[in-house]
Amino acid sequence: MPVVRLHLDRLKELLSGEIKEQELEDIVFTLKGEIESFNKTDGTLDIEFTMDRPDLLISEGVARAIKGLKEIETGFPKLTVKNSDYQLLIHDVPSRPYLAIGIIKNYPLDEKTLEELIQFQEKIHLTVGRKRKKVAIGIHDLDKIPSKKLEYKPVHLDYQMIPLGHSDRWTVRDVLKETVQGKLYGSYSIMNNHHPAILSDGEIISLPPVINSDVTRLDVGTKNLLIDVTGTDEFTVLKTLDLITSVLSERKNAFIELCMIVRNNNSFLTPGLTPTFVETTISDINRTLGVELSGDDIVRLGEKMRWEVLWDEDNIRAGAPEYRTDVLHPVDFIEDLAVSYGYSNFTLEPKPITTKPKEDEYTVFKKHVKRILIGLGYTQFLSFTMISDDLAKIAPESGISPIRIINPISNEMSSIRPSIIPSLIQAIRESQKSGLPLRIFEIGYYGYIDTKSKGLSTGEKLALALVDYRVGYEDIQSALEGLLSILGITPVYQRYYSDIFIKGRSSIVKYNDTVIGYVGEIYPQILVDNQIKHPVGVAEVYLDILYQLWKIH
Amino acid sequence: MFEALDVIRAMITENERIILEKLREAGDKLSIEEIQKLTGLSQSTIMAVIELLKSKGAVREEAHLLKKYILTEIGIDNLEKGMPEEILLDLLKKSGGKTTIKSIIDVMGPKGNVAIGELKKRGAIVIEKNEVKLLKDVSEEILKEKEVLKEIKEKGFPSDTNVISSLLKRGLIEEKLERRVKIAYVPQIADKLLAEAKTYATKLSSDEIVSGRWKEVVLKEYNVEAHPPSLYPGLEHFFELFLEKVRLVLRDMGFKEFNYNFILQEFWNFDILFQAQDHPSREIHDTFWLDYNSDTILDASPDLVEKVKRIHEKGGSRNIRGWGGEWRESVARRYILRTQMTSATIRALSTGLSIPFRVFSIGKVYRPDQIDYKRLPEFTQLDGIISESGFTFKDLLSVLKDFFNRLGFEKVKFKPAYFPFTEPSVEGYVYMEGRGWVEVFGAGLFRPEILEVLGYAENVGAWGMGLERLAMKLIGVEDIRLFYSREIDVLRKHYSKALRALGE
Repeated sequence: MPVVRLHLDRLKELLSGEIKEQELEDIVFTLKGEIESFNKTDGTLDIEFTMDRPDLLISEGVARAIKGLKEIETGFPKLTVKNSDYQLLIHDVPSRPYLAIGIIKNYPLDEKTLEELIQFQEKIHLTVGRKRKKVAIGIHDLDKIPSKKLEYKPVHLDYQMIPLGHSDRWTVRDVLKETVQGKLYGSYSIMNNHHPAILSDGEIISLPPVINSDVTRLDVGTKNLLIDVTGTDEFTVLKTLDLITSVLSERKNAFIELCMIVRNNNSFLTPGLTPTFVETTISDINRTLGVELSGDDIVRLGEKMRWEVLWDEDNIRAGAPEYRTDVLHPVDFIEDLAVSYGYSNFTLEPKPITTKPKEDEYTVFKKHVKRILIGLGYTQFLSFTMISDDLAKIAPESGISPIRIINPISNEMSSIRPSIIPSLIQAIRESQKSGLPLRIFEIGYYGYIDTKSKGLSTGEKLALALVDYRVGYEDIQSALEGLLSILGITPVYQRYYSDIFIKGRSSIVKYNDTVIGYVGEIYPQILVDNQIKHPVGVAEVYLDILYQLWKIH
Repeated sequence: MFEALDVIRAMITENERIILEKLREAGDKLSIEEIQKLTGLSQSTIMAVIELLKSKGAVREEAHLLKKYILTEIGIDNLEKGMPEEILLDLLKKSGGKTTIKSIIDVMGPKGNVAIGELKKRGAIVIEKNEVKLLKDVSEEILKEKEVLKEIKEKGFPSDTNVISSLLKRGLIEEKLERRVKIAYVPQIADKLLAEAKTYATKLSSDEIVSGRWKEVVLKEYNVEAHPPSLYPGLEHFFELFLEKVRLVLRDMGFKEFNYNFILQEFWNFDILFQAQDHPSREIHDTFWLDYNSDTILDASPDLVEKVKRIHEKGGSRNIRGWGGEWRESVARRYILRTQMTSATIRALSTGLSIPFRVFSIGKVYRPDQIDYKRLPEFTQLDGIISESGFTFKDLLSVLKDFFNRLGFEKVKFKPAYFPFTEPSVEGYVYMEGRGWVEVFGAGLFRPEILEVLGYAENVGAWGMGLERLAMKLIGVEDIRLFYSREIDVLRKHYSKALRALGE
């Protein structure tokens, strides 16, 4: 979830007045956000907002939302839109086909505003932009752009530009190789030794999604902005431009200027600033929310959230303002109504329970198993399913391979355990100092791949371990048999060899030819490798199989 | 040494009595082994009792050195492989009573010289020039000697002591001094003890009860105020105590449990929930990917997959739009560790539930996350779904309030939230004494796109919560890692804590 640092001064200016801390907190709460801190020293707030409201990632957007909720200004924001004489010619750019540009005038940049603007751009990149892959934004000082005729096309890597933060000319190739942004984003749109660029009078003003030119850099004192949005998805590119231009124009006296895009002999103006309209009914709304709103109620509640709403009989037509990127379905309007209504205003009544209570049989079975083992003096442990590659080799089965995690957080958790035994080994290592005998068990998930068939096996296993100064096979075998006998299962033990057990001291446990599990004394090298000083006997069973056998009885 | 008065007031144990009686019976000093044979007690017990008796002056330990003999290596060699003179005798007999010294050395090596020397001593052979001639067959003598060696090997002492010096000289045996301890009965003290001391026991035995001897036995007084050695019962894990309480509340609210795989394909964790394929939570930083592939999507019919594809790209029947782009089955087929338990409840929903229904699932979910006092990459979540005829958002809030009230939280607060698969969405807080409002769950009505794919006409509410976090607050556990502690002491301590905290 994105966190932004906003300046309280800017907010107050945009609201044309004071706002108390508590009121701000409550409104942010309603806007799905959370104030993480009020930084008194520099007059800033750190607020976390949700991914569906990128318009709130700058003071202008927050102020606009506050005005609506406080009913200072409701419905669609009034935008001042004019035409500009800026033109953009879009050529074929296969790796990043879409581009839209827009102009904001009367947007003077002071330090705080510049800070918020850059942050706004960065956060949109992270959220809507999917880290610049889907959409990337460039913001330019309009007055520094050489010519009003712009072009968007792929340029050869040898083409030169002055990258942001530098004063000399570099080749595009070097920009991609040497700059931080080049290294991060240079691979996204490069194609056939060419890279997309926005040019003005032959001068590269932007190399999307990588970096802007220093020629059009924003400074304190910049008054007018050109916003460019490039990307791989047309709808998102246009919507993002709408979002940015609309939100920024919330600033007093700022206004939007449209640019002409020419592409394939078609021309159109951007930003489109198109609202999203949905249709629903009053009955539908009430049926979904569980309230009884009238048409007028719905209009008022919608307008507080800056929607425009019309109703006629049961029909509702609602428009989300152009800067809302999250409206896919009428339900997105219904949620805003609920938010506007106030979640704490729903009168809650306990619902009669019309479904029959029933405990899950398998869960009940596990409870029995736990009880019996506790009765044998065994204590339950819970541990992780993810373990190290080394420990994942410890399993009684043969012909299996562990399931590896491609992006583990550490070497200690890079595989899925094929057995609970390695987890118990880890527990024994830490618990052996607390006194012997140590009797422990765990019920948990396991997973492995059958080496031959490549099939995946997952489920739950039960493992128990006995640690003492002296431990023999029958000591642990009797515990397992104690459990199985209460469950009414008389198992058969067959000689079994596994390299985790001492040779001649392990068996495979079966019932009517079904493998239930394994019993054995752990091979001492494993104990030594894990700093365990005492002998250990373990038994492990497939719990799902045990459950099936128990049910049959 | 005890004085007479002390002896009368002295007490002896049963074992002390037994050993003293045997010593008196024997009339002679006894070794520990002899006492063991006579009493059947273990050596360690006997030795402990002897110490006690020694301290009372009732017995005296006498050590003497016993001379014993053992075979040397040569002796052992001779016994096993045959004595050199035996071998030579044999050789001579086989070669018609005479042979050359050279042949002897050839066959026997240096042992040949020893053999010649020995037989000469016995007068069994005569040497002329380089020839050795047999005079007398001394096999019987030699055999007798072998018997002696055997005897010494077994018993440490030969019955015929005359041979000892020659065997010593020949280096076949050596002397060994062993310290032998014998216990002697001291009548002045022991008699009095046996006659007058009362026998006491530390623990009453079945024997004493059955035989009636319990009447004579005096039980040593215990220091009952002292603490006993630790004895620990087997215990359930303290977290499971909490989970049981949660399950009980759910059962009372009419919920049924459902389980599904913890290893799944992205289809069941994300795509079926209408989460866009390029959504950040599906990336390498937020989901664990597994090194396993398949050509198909488990449990999903081609029809279902097709529906999901269409809805992702275009949206449902009432959508303005879908996510656009191209929905790729290859992405949906990727194997991951599930990141949310909604993957299980949505699976339940996909099996076709008839309303009204209340279903929940509890299990582990996995997210690449730092491990610290409040976060784990693997933790337990509860997810529940609920629907009935005319189910509303208000109904969902009501059920949630009811659930938390039953868990013991009186005050519940709802906050607008965002989740990719619910709309409206809500986040819930409960009020805890001393902690204030604590965020505990997320919930909402499933988005219509999801219900359209699965064919549900009524609204379905869903909610999920992390269980360790809630348990931490309820039980008073400061660090989430403690739930997975490997130290049994930690588990025992928290079990006691949980018993109190979880109340009824």
